[in-house]
Amino acid sequence: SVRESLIPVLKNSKFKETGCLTPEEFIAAGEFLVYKCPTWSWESGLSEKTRDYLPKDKQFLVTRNVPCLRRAKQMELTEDEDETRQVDGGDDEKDEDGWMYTHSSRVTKTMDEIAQTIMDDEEEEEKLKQNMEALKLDQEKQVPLDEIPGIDDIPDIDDIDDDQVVEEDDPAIAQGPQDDTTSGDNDKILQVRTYDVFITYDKYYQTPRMWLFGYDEQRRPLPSSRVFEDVNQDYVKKTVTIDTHPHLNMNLASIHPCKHAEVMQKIIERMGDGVSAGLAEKGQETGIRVDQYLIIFLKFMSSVVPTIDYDHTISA
Amino acid sequence: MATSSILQFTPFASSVDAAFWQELANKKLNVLKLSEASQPVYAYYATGHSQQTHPPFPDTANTTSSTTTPTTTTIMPTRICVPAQGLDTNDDTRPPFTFRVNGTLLNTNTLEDFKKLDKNQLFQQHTVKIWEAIQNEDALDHPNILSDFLLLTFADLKKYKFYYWFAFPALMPQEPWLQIKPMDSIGNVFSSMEMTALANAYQAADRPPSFLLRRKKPNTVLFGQLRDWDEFFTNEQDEFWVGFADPSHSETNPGWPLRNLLALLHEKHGIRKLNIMCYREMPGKVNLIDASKLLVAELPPTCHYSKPPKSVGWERNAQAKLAPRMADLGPLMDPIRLADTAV
Repeated sequence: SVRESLIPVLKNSKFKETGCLTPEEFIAAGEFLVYKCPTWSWESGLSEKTRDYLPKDKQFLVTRNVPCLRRAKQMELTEDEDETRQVDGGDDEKDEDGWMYTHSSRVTKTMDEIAQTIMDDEEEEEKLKQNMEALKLDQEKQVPLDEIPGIDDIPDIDDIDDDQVVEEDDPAIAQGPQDDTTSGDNDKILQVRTYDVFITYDKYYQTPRMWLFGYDEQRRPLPSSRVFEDVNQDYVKKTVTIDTHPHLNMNLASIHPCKHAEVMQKIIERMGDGVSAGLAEKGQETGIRVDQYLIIFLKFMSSVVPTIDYDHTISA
Repeated sequence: MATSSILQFTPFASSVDAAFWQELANKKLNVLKLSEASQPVYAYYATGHSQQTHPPFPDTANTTSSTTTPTTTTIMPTRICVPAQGLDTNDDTRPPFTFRVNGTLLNTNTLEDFKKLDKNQLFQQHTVKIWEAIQNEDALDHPNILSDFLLLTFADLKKYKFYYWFAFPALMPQEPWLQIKPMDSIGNVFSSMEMTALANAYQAADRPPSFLLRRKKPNTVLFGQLRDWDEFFTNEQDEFWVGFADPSHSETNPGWPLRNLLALLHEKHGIRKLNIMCYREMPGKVNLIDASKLLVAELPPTCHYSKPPKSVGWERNAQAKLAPRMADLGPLMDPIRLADTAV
């Protein structure tokens, strides 16, 4: 865009003061993410959309086929959830402009915990294990597929009556519920949506930006209206918009980055020098390192898309 | 005595990147034009790893009554994915920790042509291709030939609708393979030390889609390639397995690629009974192979693979019928509909 091309590329690191990243810092943070969570990888995207301030083969980050087991609506807050709080947008802004910080207890209890997950793999892993043990899939809340409106919006073709393809019944084919939309009572194999999650560098806002591309239970592309079902209802259409991916010819849902810098700055500030969070030794000057930015960013994003489980490999 | 049951395989569930359809549309308009010649295409799968797919926030389950049926971990379908770059076979863009599979794409110009394609014949041709790779031993050096697939498409470029049908031909013996006993977890047979050694050897061998494994007690595992069969299986004191990268997440069934691997082992080595290792690693944690399974497969006596070979493997649609699927990219590609959602 014109606006984007007029903005000079950020050169000097200001990430602690502003929450912004330079392209170089984005790359460094991306490298650290790929190292810590190897299911993320760099991609180059379309050659005609290559941004010259990023290396050709490291234009954006992606993790694919991330399961999304439940709709955001099915994750209503219960009373013992902690408060919905807002991170103030700034002194001169009204509360409504602040970033809603809901679901914070689901994501991580404190900023220190975010730090812990970066530093302490073992502990996080243990927590995941406990979560898994405590896991009871709530069958009652599973909306049967045939009740989800719009499932027939994109039917497979019935008018192709292909009697010509004949295949004998093969007893060696496992009759899983893979292609059986009526398998609501099967609790072993769950029909899941999956997401491809992208992180691009937004030159205008000088922050990372997250993009989501969803596939339904039958692995067909999800229309955006149904992607919104997986977004925390507080954010739907407020901060989540449909835009063109900067490196692909595709329109997809994105978490608008206009508040990212502020929120990231607050989070980083709250984590302080990182000593209390275990990120740094006492007396060490560095504190939070810029390459840890994306891991903190992903934690923050998971409050927007609480049901998309891209997070699991952070313990890897 | 253990009772045998039919060894059942989890079929592949295809998954096509939306950007792939876009690439196909571009190629159709700018390169292929009216040509209906077949195109090479590639896809990928990851190994099964059921424990990965837990919901991250179990706390909402606390408030509701316990469910009537016992719930176990959730399992993902056995995905095979075609990436955006799938038509560019010089490219190899795929997520880390995945296995590449090659295929053949046939795109027709009209829906009529798509309907009229002689699908049974195409399927049989593809089956014969795999069969020949077994007979001439190409498959020993390139085991992923065994998973070659067929993809028929019709791109309705005006409506941004893409009709498609995958086929994953699997060779069938006259009677199905049997399973001597239920699948066992790797941890029940191998020590953690052996599992670590195996995982390391697997990575060092560049993650082959199939492999040989010999176990010398105590705590020594030897790793080999399919090609090494004769030198590898010498000492009868040791235990042997044939392993394969198993895309299935199922606790009870191995994945589809084992079918043609069994055909290869029977045809080339006369195998009627063998130990199979369904190798399942956790993407991102390749040393974690606890999800791997072991099974014993046996071909009923006097039973063989018929010549010409018989096969199955058309993917069924959402209604579990033998029919094509359709991806509607209108909401994502149609300029008019895009204008509606633009902010």
